[in-house]
Amino acid sequence: MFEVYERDSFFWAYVKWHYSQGLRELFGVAHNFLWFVGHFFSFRLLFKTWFAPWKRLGENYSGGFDLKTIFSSLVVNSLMRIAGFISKTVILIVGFIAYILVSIFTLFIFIIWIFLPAILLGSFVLAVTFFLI
Amino acid sequence: MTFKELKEKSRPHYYCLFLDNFFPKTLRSILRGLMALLALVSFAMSFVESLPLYFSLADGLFFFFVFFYLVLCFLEFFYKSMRGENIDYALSSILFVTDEIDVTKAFFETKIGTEILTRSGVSPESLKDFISSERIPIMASVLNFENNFVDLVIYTVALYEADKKFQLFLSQNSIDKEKFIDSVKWVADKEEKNRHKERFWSRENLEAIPSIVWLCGF
Repeated sequence: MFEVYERDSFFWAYVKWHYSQGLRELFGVAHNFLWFVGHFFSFRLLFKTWFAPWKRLGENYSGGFDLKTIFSSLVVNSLMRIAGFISKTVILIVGFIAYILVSIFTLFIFIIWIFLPAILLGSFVLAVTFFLI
Repeated sequence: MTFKELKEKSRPHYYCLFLDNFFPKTLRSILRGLMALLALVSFAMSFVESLPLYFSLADGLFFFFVFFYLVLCFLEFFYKSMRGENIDYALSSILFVTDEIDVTKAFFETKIGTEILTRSGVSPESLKDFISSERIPIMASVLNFENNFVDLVIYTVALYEADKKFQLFLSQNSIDKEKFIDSVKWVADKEEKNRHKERFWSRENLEAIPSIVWLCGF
């Protein structure tokens, strides 16, 4: 929702927004992105199916006591589960790295947001100082 | 809701419209990219002693470009936030320039208004002729809205109902009320889609991206 800006000048409207609505929206956007990483990498689903066979591939036991068939099914199913486990682990690791990176980036933006006046003043002063040296 | 109240409600958009008028969006975007590029170049140059830039000058340039890049970035954040969702931005762009003595004229002179009329099939020459013709101006105080929610469609319908000369002009161009409203809806929808697309960080836009599990078919 909009704040009441009444008849503020552009500058004062910006200052008001920066430390109120803007900051709230920043948190909202950060929350959306973190949610998106979780959604994109489907953490919940991958945890649930971590040991499930790769793309549900596998062999059914045909019944009876045939050691050769049982052993063949066991090997194929085990291999599919290992393939599924490895691929899902890789995706989970990449997902967690992405989650951490987004969190760090959010924190970085948050710090810049809070200290923006000081950063702007600092960069301006440094620019002038380096020009004059 | 009165016209005055409607104008007051759309006030947060005026900062964006003011910015768009004096510092167009495309220019802002180009300058932002340029500042980022120049900041990177000057940062790289500050490490190379053989280049024809003094060490201190390259550093000074880096901070100078960082300063402007940050100003432009935060200006854009402010702009996008102010274009928020609860008021029709296309309507605000009309209200921003609306002269309270002649509401129809302002409608004809805005980008949105012109687009609606062009979409309806009115030629640009006819638009100019209508504005310069002798007509009774419609005062803003005449426009009163039943509900507290007013969007572009409700506003233009109210304008259509209030200005008989405008109705006549449209009918001379073979445009009835229904056709006119359809054009308004088309433009409003297009504007809304553009605004929605721009907000790529919104939950709706992010939700539309399929997950990796779905893409890989686990």
